[in-house]
Amino acid sequence: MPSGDGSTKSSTKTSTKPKYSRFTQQELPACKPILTPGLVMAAFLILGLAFIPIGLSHLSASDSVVQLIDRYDEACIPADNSNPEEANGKRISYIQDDKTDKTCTRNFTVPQKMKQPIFVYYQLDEFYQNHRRYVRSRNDQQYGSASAERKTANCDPEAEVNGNPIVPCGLIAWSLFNDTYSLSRNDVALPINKNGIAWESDKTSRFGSDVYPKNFQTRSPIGGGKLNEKIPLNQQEDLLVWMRTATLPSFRKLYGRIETDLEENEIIKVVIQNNYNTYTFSGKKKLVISTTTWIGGKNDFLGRVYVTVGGICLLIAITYIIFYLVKPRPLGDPAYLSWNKVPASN
Amino acid sequence: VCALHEFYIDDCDNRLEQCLYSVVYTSLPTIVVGILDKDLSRTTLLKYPQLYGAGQRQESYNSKLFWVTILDTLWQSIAAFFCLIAYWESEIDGSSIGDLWTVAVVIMVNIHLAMDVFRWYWITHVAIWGSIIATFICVMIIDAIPVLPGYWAFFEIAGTKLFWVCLLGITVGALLPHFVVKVIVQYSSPSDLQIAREAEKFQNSRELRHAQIEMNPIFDDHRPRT
Repeated sequence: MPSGDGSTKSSTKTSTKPKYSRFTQQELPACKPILTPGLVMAAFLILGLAFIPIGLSHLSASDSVVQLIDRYDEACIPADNSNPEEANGKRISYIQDDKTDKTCTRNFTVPQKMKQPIFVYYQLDEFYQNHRRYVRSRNDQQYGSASAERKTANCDPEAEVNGNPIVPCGLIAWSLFNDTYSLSRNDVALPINKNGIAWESDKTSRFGSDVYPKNFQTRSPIGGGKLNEKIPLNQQEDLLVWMRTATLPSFRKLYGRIETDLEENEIIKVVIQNNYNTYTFSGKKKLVISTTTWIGGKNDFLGRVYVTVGGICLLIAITYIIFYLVKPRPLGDPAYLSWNKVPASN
Repeated sequence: VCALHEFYIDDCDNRLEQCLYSVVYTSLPTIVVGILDKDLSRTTLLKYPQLYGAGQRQESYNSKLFWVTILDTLWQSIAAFFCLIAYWESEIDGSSIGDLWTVAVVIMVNIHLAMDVFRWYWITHVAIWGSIIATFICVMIIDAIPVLPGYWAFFEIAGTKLFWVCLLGITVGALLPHFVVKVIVQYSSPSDLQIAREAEKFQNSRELRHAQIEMNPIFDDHRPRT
């Protein structure tokens, strides 16, 4: 009989059954959390109660920032009543001419008391420091050490002049911002501290203390400021600040700090050297004097988002509680299974 | 989320980061959960074989769910991207915001997965939380190389409170719609699998954990022989 032979054979044949282990049989100890109504309510309540205070604190910090913004690129260039194209052409040649006097004086009134340290920024609009080709136009190896002077890969067209490498090479360095500001209050100069405006890490590890500018801005077109050839790169803090390319087309960069308080209604006089050419591409230049808080400058977006999300969470928590009280569903009740709910029909 | 993030990752992260994202940061949790996760125990399935019907009716993977998921991930990308408004007209540089986005997206993606995991083995914990930790470590390592343009960006930005507030805001804001819909659907129109899972946890106090159910080979054949 086949079965008789079969049973003898099966007792001597080695079993092909896989070796049992908790891993292969998916029986490792596990936590099986389920979202119970209690957990859900707790989650939304906690989120709501945590987010609303954070949002409100953010909004109040943003409100407490005092800032003065002055757009000066239009005001600081001689007005011209000719037609717009001609006028723009004249403005560009004015700004590009070395010999024109670019001094410009502006006045502000301090709206509220500002506590030190007060930060002085320059803000550029419509300036795309995040342009792909621009961002890559640098060579950090060259900036880091004097021996890497000839490494100018990626820096074209600002890599070499007459066969000699440009230090620092690249378009970012070439377009260095070079307007200057000097502030005074009641005819007494207000000193701006320009030390410590760049990241410490840039000064100590990234830019070399033995790298000096060479062949920089020596040929036309000139893109921006010139550099003092006797100061090593890691001490040229304006350059270091500029080299951190901004993400957005409307950005600020730190110019310096004022280390005294400014009282309400004081009149601050600013003497600007309007050197930087933003007229060719219709960019805007603004001087910003601002206090800061734990969130940075004046920006209430996150505060509003937090308050909104917190509010929504609380609303959902309340709705859920009402729903739970009015129409409870017992957990795991087999009566809710789909084949139990559908009435049997033939 | 990955695809949309690639759009604006270019200036802010270098190519190394892009590779790392797909390979290291987010592949392991998906693989681990795919292999190990299971929704119901064998005793429940044997008791209610109708539960298999859910798979036959494609309740967990169908066209409508696919498009809803696409919308959800689109929202998550928008939420992450628009945290830029919090940095409007500020000094933020490209590398710093890139670090914020990298970390935010990895956390978002992993918590999204974590919300849907049924069984938490120790391996699952390691894969999911480990990926988040690995991302932080990788970002810190990459930002410690002086010749890369993003040098020290992570340490500078992580020292600001705004970074952490943004990170929390992005994570919660991006995942809130998913969580809310999940909660509403689970409560008001629970799937059979959901009810069975609740029954397993709350109604059966004695569950046969380690029983092996032998599937005996069939020796007698009752078909008529010709």
